[in-house]
Amino acid sequence: MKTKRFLCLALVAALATSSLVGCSQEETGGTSSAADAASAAAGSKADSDADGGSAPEVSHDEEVTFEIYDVAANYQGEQIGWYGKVLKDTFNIKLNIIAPQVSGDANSLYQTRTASGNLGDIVILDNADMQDCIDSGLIMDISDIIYNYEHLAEYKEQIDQFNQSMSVVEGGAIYAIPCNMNNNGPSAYVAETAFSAPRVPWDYFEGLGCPELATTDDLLNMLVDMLEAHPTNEAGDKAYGISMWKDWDTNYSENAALLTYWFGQQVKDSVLVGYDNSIVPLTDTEGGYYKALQFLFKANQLGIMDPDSATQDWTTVCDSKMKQKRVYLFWYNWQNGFWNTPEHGESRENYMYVPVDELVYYQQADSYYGDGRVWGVGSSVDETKKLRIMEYLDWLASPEGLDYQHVSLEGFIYTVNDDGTYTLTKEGQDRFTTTIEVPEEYGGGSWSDGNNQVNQWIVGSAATNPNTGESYDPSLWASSIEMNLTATTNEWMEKYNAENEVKYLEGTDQLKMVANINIPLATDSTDIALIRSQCGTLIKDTSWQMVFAADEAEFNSLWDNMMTQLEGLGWSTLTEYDTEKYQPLIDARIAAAE
Amino acid sequence: MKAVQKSKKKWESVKLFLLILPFIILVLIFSYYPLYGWIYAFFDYKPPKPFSWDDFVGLKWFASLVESNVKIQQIGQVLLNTFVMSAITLGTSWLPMLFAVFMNELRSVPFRKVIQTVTTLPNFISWVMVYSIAYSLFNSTGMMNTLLANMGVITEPVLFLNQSGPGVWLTQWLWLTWKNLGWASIMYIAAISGIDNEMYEAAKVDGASRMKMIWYITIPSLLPTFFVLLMINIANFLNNGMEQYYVFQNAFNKEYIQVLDLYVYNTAMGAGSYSVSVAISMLKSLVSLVLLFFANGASKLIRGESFL
Repeated sequence: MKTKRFLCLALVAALATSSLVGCSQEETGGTSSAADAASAAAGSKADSDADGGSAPEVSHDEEVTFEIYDVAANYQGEQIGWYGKVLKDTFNIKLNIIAPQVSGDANSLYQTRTASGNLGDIVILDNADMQDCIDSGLIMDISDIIYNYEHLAEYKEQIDQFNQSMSVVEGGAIYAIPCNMNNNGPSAYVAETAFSAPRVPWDYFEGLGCPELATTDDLLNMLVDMLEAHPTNEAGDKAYGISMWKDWDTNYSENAALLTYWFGQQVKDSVLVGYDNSIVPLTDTEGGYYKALQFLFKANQLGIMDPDSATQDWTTVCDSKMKQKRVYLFWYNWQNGFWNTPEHGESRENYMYVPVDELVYYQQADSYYGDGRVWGVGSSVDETKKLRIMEYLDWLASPEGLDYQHVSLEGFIYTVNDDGTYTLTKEGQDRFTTTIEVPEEYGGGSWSDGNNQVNQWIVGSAATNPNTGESYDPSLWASSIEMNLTATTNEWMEKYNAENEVKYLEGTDQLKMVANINIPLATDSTDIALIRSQCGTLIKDTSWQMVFAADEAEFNSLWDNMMTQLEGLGWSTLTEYDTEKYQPLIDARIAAAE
Repeated sequence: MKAVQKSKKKWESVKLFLLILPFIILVLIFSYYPLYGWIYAFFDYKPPKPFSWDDFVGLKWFASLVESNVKIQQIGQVLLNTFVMSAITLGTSWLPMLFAVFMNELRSVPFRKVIQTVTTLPNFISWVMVYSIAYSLFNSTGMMNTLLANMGVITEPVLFLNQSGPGVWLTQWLWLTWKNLGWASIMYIAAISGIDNEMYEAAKVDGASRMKMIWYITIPSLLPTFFVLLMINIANFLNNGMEQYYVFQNAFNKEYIQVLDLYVYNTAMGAGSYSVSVAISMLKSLVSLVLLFFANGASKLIRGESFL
């Protein structure tokens, strides 16, 4: 009797589970079939003329939704707000952004979508993945049509160079359009700031008497003094010298990896590539990664490290700490945007570069040939949709499209001067630091929610706008530079006798420029991928433990222990593989330098 | 006459079979068909390349799991975490029963309802939300640290979330219990309402106290339900899920929080190694099967009846 009761219960449980599974299966099936229907509907009207030397005319009568698989996006879903309205009004299109970074599990999303044979109508991928996808027939050859488009054709040299360097591409086929290209030449660098360098609030630094910093230890001690003088922000919340976050970590601690730039190196998978064309393993104790860990460890010993660093994510640290002036050391140049404004500049509060004599900064030239990611068109789009997509891509590379992407709305975010150059409005200046409400006529909502969520550009902001003769990047406009001449910059310029950070570093020979190279590198075999992920997990975890180690002895023993374990996981195989993998990059750089 | 009866009997059983057929098909599709996917464990499958017989590698991935001491140690630690955490959960699986029994003794119905709702609610909060609650409560400037600092208990913030060492097992069990206790007790509450009231009345007449009634009537009546649930849990011994551990994991507690499912995710799925993750999950199924037979055998020995 009891057996029977058990069997009944078990059966009920099994059925409940299977019916639940059934529900979820049906649900996903439902959405995908809806998407199919939408794309079928979109493709029903054909109006194409692909021949001839000029771009084919397409009808915009029907609304089309492009599904963009976008490895750079930090937002998933439909493009909304002012940029969405621009696209809707100009082309009658909607963007549905698929963001692996947001999905929580980027790799399995990629795997399931590639396995299904349709990654997206438009895909933005890393170079290596693009090669795999082309090889698997997921990407469309657009060589028949791409150079009929005026603005894309301007970048023919770079697009051809990239496609020909891919081992899987034969003949004159064109599958990929590099991201972030420009028209300034392969070794130009137009920005005023280096990608990574130490920056601190100018008023606090000046308050300490602008101490001379010879070493990173001096930098840390200066931060200690700064924290002593200003233990909280104005609101009374506790401030920190350094704050980090865990969710950007890949196969190493991202924060530590970034600091390798200060030691003239860049982390490339399991190796460090130097500005001097050297390649050493990531775990080289003379290398930048070890030095960065030591730096962060000392920071923690000195009590200036945010204790929540290992458990908080980027959003927390950015919103509740960086934007509230609770973190005194910034190291990315774009981080300045979370605090620096003309007002803060006038009140001498902006973050500014502080020279540290012993450091040399690794700096890549602007990405003339592209930056390692590429655009492609999915192989399963039909002819009509292809033309709509190509039209959109061409617009993205056009001055009009680039103004929208890199600046925003004319009349609201910027105005045009008499001589044709642009000036940021008040809203424009504050767009990254405060919430700007966009007027209803432009689409409403907040400016940043409505900003281009694709977060990737065919042409980078460093490119020169033929209409103004200036870069698309608003911070490089003459009007902005003049506007940003605040008490902060004036004092800084006087103190360091240089026009800006880059000029200063060039003067002291601390900025080590490497030429832009964009070549696709080999992807990992399953064996290598497995070693990489197992070693990566270990390195990542140990790095955090080392930063928060109780003392020097623990720091060292953690490192030694990690090295022993790494050997058991096949670390030397991995570094040998990566050394070989990045040799072509080094060769190309040497060739470019000659 | 006999023939008619026989065919009628046969028709009856066919009818019964047809009734259960849709469910058999469901089970076949959702529980057996996916086993076909095990084939990936024997291939070097790497999306987006299509599946091909050229990539057959035999038992390579199984061997790669134990090819060096470091890896064996790692797997050992992972298995230990899985077993210990499951064992703690199993060992405390009488808690919901006790909870239900005590709740049943509450005389005030509105109060009982409130308690039941409050304890059931956490079951519907996703683990991601649970972690953000945990983070707000326990970060260095969170409620807990502020409270302790204001009371003068601590001067430096305690980093609760950076906890390492075997204590992680207990903390995670506490979170799990907080989330599941109310929900798990529902089954027992239902079972209690099925107990014959006459038994209680008879006991009362005999002068039994409340504790005695719980001990001699309620709990024995709940035991069959308890054992059935226990059996199901044993088969799920290795399936202690990964969401909870995934959201709570960080560099400091990784060593003790990494259970089998999370290990599969961290080492293989995340790195794009489908084949390896399939290989590990196959091992998992085998161990589960062994455990189930073991539990069944034990039940036969102890209670004189088996479930299979």
